[in-house]
Parts: sequence; C-alpha cells; structure tokens
Amino acid sequence: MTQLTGQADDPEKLAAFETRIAGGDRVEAGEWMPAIYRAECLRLIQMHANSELMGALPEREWIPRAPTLSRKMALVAKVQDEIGHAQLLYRVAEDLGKPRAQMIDDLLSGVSKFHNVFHYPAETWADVIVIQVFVDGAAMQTQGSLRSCSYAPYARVLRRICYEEDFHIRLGIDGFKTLAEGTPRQREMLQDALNRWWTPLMHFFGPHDKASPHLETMIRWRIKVKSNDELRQQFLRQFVPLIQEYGVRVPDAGLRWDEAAGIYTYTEPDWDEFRRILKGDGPKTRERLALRNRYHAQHGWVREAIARWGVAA
Amino acid sequence: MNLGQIVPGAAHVYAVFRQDSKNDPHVHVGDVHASDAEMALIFAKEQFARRDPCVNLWVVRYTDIGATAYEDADMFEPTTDKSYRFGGSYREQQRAYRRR
Amino acid sequence: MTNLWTAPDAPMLLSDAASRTAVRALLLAMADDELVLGHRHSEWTGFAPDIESDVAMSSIAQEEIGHARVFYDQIAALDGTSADRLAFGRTPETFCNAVLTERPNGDWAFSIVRAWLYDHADAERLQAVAASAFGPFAALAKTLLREEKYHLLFSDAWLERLARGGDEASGRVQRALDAAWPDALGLFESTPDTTHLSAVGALAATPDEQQGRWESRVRPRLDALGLRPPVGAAPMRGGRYGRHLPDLGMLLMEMTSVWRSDPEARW
Repeated sequence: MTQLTGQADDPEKLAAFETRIAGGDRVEAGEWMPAIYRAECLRLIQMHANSELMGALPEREWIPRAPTLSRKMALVAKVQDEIGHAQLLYRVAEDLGKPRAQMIDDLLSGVSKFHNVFHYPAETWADVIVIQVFVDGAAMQTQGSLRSCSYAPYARVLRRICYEEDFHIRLGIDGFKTLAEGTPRQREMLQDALNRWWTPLMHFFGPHDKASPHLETMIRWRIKVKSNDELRQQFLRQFVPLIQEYGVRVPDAGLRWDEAAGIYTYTEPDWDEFRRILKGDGPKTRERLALRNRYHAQHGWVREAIARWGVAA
Repeated sequence: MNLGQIVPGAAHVYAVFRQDSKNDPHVHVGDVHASDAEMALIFAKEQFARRDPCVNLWVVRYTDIGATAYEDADMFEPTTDKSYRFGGSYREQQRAYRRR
Repeated sequence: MTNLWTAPDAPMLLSDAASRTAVRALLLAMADDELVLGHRHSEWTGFAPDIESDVAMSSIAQEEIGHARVFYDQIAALDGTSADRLAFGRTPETFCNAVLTERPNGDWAFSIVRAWLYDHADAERLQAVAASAFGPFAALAKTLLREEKYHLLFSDAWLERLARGGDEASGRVQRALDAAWPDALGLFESTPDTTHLSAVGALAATPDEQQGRWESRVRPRLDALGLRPPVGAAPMRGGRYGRHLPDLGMLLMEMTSVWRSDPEARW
C-alpha cells in the first residue's frame, strides 16, 4: 500500500487529479490518489467510525433503565444504528489501506481519536434525550455537508447514515417534547441535562477555522465542505428555535440572534477544555476505553475460535 | 484486477447483494466481515435488511470479485460511430412499423 | 391488535373464569420470559465480540421485547391496565419467567448456549399454541414464529462455530451447557394452568410433550457438535411460581429505576 507520509506524488498524476476534482469528479477506492488525500480521508473516516462506536456507550448505559417498553426498544434500535454506522464507516476506511482490526486496536489503545461529545457522562435519562436531539443533530450538519465530499465511498455511506440519523433526531424530539411537557421534575431533569451538554455541543464543530494551506487544500479537494463556523451556525439555526418552542432555556445567556449579520452570536466556549478532550483527557475517556478494552480482552478466545473456523471452512 | 487487492483481509469480507422483491435484480448494498458465507448471510440480514424487507440475499467473498480498473474507464467510451446499436437512426423502419 | 378475549372466533372456552385465568397465566409466563431474556440480550449492546454480531443481537433483543409487549398488551386488555405497568410495576415474586432467562449474561459461550436452548424451547411452545384450537392466539403465535426462526439461525450458527473453534472455545461451550441445561428444563415446568389449557385444547402439546420434542431436536445437534448435556440434572423449577434468584430482583431494580421515579409520568 502507498506510504501515507513522506512520499512525493507523481506531479503529472497530481495535476490530473486536481483538474478532475476541480471539474466535480469523485474518487473511488482503488483509484490513484495523492498520499495526503488518502491520509486525510482515512483519518476523517476512521475518526467518524470510532465516534459511532464510542458514541454508543453513553446511550447504551440507559438501555437497561429505559422507562417504557417503547423507549427501551427504540433506544436499542438507535444504538444499533450507531454500531451499524461504525460497521459501514470502518468498511469505507479499510479500503484506504488499514485493516479494521488495526483501527479498533488504535481506538482502544488511545492512539486514534473520537469526537469530543462522547467523552462526557450521560447522567440521567434526559441526557439520552439531549444526545438524541442535539448530538445527533450536530452530527447531521457535518454528515449532511459531507454527502458532497469527493471521496465517493464515504459520500455514499453518508446518504444512508443521514437517512437513519434523521429518525434518531425525530425520536429524540419526541422524547424532548415529552419531558418538556411533563412533570416539574422531568422539566428540571431536561434543563439540567441541556445545561451540562451545551458546552460540548458548542465545541462539537471545532474552533473557528484558521486559514492555512492545509485547510485550503482540504476545501479544494472537497474533503472539507463547510467551515466549522458555518456548521455551528446551521446547528444553532435549526435547534435554538426548537429549544425555545418547548419553553426550555438556552444554557448560554449570551446567545443572541444578530438579524443584520444573519448569525447567532454567543459566549465563546472554553477551547482549552476541548483541547484536553482531544488529548484523551475527558471526564469519561479513560473509563470508557477501559470498558471496551475489558470486553475486547474477554472476547479474545471468541476471535481465536472464529479465526480457526475461517481457515477450516 | 481483483477487489481482494484493495481490501485488507479480503478473504473475510463479503459483498452483500439484496433483492428487494422478486423480479428485481440483486443490488450491492455493502459488505460484512464474517468467517464464512453462512455467517455473512446471517449478519447481512440485520445490517442490510432490518428496515426494508427483501426477499433474497447473496454474499460474495471479496477475493472472488474480479473488477476493471478505473484507469481503464476510457475503454467503455465509444470512439467510432455505434449508432447501429440504437433504434433512433432507423426512422424509416419506425414509420413503417407504426403504419402496420 | 386483535383482542384475544373478545375476538369473534375466540372459543367458547374463554367464557369460563378458569380458562381465562389459565390463558392469562400462559401469556404472562411467555411475556416475562421474553422481557427478561430480551433485557439480557440488550445488555450485550456495544459489547458483542464483533460489530456484526452486535447489530444482529440488538435486533434479537428488540424482537424479544416486542414479543413481550404483544403478550403484555393482551393481559392489559383483560386487566384494564397497560403493558408498561405490567412490565415495570410488578415485584419479582409476581414474575413467571423461567430462571434460565434471568441468569446474567456471563461470557459469550453462556449467552449463546442459553439463547439456543431457549430459542428451541420457545419454538416448541409457540408451535403448541399455533396448532391449538384457540384461533386468535394460534394466529398470533404463527406470526411470532417467523421472527424466532432467525433467532435460532443466529444462535445455532454461533454454537457451531464455538463448539468447533478449538479446545478453549469448546470447553467454554460445554461448561455453559452444564450450567444452562438444568435451568432450561425449568422452561417446561407444568402448572395447573398449563394442564387446564391442554385439556381444553388451547395448547396442542403439554409442557412435558414440548420438552420431549425439544430434547429430540437439541440432543442430536449437541451430539453432532461433540457436546454432552449433564446427566441426571435436577430441573431448575420454581420460575413459573414466582420463585427466582436474586438476579431477577437486581435486574428489575435496574430496569424499573427511572419508571419508578414517577410511575404516573409520561416518558
């Protein structure tokens, strides 16, 4: 497989590639691509896959405690979708040159990353609802924009992911409405959950983009389609009215709609917290990775059994 | 070429094809990792047919899939006049056919 | 939902209280089995040995819980309550699931063996209802059998691969079988209600007969896989009479914790 760093791309091939991409063409697995293009797609898709797998954890904690049969089945189905997404995404990432088992090892050892939001605890049932509406809602902004990315296998899989994510958000909004219109304790639980999740949500899309040759290349190659700020604004435009509609308070007192500029202005979140999370220092990072590692180790004998079977068959 | 060349561990990756209803073709919808074809079918049912029912599934090991290379896509483009393959150029016959 | 009690083709037998009680008891045992086992299966979410099995097990869990809801809905129609209240509002000694279903998941070998033994037994029970004279219930059982078919495909495929997966895997499967077999026999515990239902034709096979058919299916398969059920094991009875392990109490405590925080709230 192609070296991911340090290799100079053939200048003729690179020029042809740039022309194709500029013309709106897509890239399929198995086609020649610049080493950096391959590396960036792999990093991005791998992180997405990791996030789906780790994202299952805060929610699955509440499966045993879901308060109705309906919510129980729906939550199992929702988490199943996330794990299904991980399956689809690891498959796409694999064809860029990295075996799935290795990607999972790198996730478990802390070498590769997953989104900030999944490093936080899900303390109450209302957290599950908030995750379903707002975390999935945030992910939808990015995933929706990347449906037009140049790497075709990723774009294709995102169509299915967005389709299913849409159900999750609707399910979440149903739960949100139920709590918002529920008992005083339920409304309090919901407000408290949203208060705790607000900063991670504002962090989700990343800091304000700083212009750089790297960013410019990512945009030119359509690996990055919208800026972090654009996505964050999209998210706020979609979900702030929803929060207000149900009489829930937006946790940032400084959040304002600026009519003239056509954007929301808000209190800048603490980006140091975000950087710490990405280094693997979130409230639940170590515990969740340890939990996954424990099960992974426990299942070692199963993997061996299957490996033998695969050989014999 | 062979798709096994792109996919690491291709011997345990199975392409999944589903047939929505009878009379539909089987369509490639994605892949599963599995030890063998029987397990691949069991996995495929839930990963690719849990929402929309289908009537039939196929699985094919990636190492068994031959493929053309994208570099050779130009060989599919017609260079010489192939209008004889299409009915559009046969106007007289169309008119005669309709008159019958 | 076809209300079993008022369906036009509900047999005359439902006009007497003893028969209604007996049908209710059977529904409750089936519902509790499915809910408790479905809950156990759902505990694997996120932690199955591979991503594909995680997805498949999740579907099976959803379906078991879905079947439980179907049965609870029927009881709720009779009692004038709701499925949720039946599922979340009862104490352990009122549950009629077999002890097999409440055992913690253990390792993958135990979970697969337990699921396989149960899936076969559940098929026999559903067949006994499907072939019965109780029309609307028989129709319901026939539709549920369709989903159960997949559950058995999954558990049997895994059983085979583990049983033939080398010494460690087959050792674990054998130990799982040793542990689960007595519990599995408890699935077929007879009660006065099952006796009554067989007598009036609402069950085409008694639990003993179901057990006989179950053994005729599972024993040859185990034998072919080099596995030996324990000999002379005492069946783990009591589940149908509300006698459970501490495991069920802990399971229900967790399962009902949010619901109990306000049973009148909408969730």
